[in-house]
Amino acid sequence: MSVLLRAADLVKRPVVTLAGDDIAQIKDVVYSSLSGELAGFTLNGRGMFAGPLKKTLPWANVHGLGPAAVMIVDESHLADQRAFDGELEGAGGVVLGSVVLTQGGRSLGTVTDVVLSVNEKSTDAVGYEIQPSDKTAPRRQFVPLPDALSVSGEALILPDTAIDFIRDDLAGFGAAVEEFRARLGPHAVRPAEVPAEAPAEGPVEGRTEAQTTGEPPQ
Amino acid sequence: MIRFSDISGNPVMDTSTATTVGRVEAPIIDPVSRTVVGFRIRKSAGPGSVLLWGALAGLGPDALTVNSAERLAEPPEELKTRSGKKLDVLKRRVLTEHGHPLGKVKDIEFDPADGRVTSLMLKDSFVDGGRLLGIGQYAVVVTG
Repeated sequence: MSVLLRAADLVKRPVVTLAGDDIAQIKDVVYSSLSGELAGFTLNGRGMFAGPLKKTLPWANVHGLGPAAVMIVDESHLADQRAFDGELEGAGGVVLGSVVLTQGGRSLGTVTDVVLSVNEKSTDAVGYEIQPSDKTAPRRQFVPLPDALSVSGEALILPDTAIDFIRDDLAGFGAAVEEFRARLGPHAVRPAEVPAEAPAEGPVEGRTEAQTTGEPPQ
Repeated sequence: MIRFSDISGNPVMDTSTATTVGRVEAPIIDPVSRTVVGFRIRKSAGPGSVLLWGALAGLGPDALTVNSAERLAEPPEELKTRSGKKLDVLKRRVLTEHGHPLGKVKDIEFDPADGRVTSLMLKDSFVDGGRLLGIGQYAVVVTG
């Protein structure tokens, strides 16, 4: 069972140790300046009048992330501020605000948030919330994220097939991500991971579908 | 097995004088050994308000017995915060180690022989006592 949520929804969530103490809450989300992946969180103290903490929480040290809390093993898993030198916080990040382009050269919109898939045991970034450039489209849409993609401060390039998997709400988005990644098949999977996954996901059926529904470049 | 709600509020009887020296208020649970290590006692006639498991003379369905009111003492240093109200297990929210909320602790069930916690009882589910990881001021954390 997995739950999809936006990274911004994590703000104000308590950070709880396995001993059951709430030692902080999420202040903001930090994205890695190189890859655009989630790098970690900056923290506030708990309570109404608590200010920002000098400590941060790197993504690698998160033990579990659930609907009620962000879990860590103990207080020693918080890092100091220097852990995020060179990374960008919140709205200033490389990914947020980037234009999403397809490989065919069509602009889909600008990124407003990152969608995380929270499983029982792990969490993965699976898509982006975008503000569509098409004015007739809904106020926000969700595009799936391939395993590997090109990103710079300027734009973010997705395969053309991503267009078929844009969704207006998070409810059906989980299935869309899985299907999208399956269709990309061996191309999106890094060489080391190919053997186990590639044959089972039916590249034959996927490829014919991609050809018939592929959008012409504009 | 015995539930804490069965003995909550029961009198603590001093067997040497046959008088009531206090009433059971709350269990004190050590999350590492997953056992009840004692009880907090209200209206204590002794020097403190903590009755350690080892100081009990008897644990029955209608009363706890001690052989002297002196057994109701101040907690040892390592149990001082653990025995306070801020870390009571009852009514505390329960989270899994992955941050999923399960509900609040309504009752606990433990083995009257050695104090081992066998289950945490939530509104409409049970959590096995062996899954207990920590009891903190924010939540009770369990594996899973």
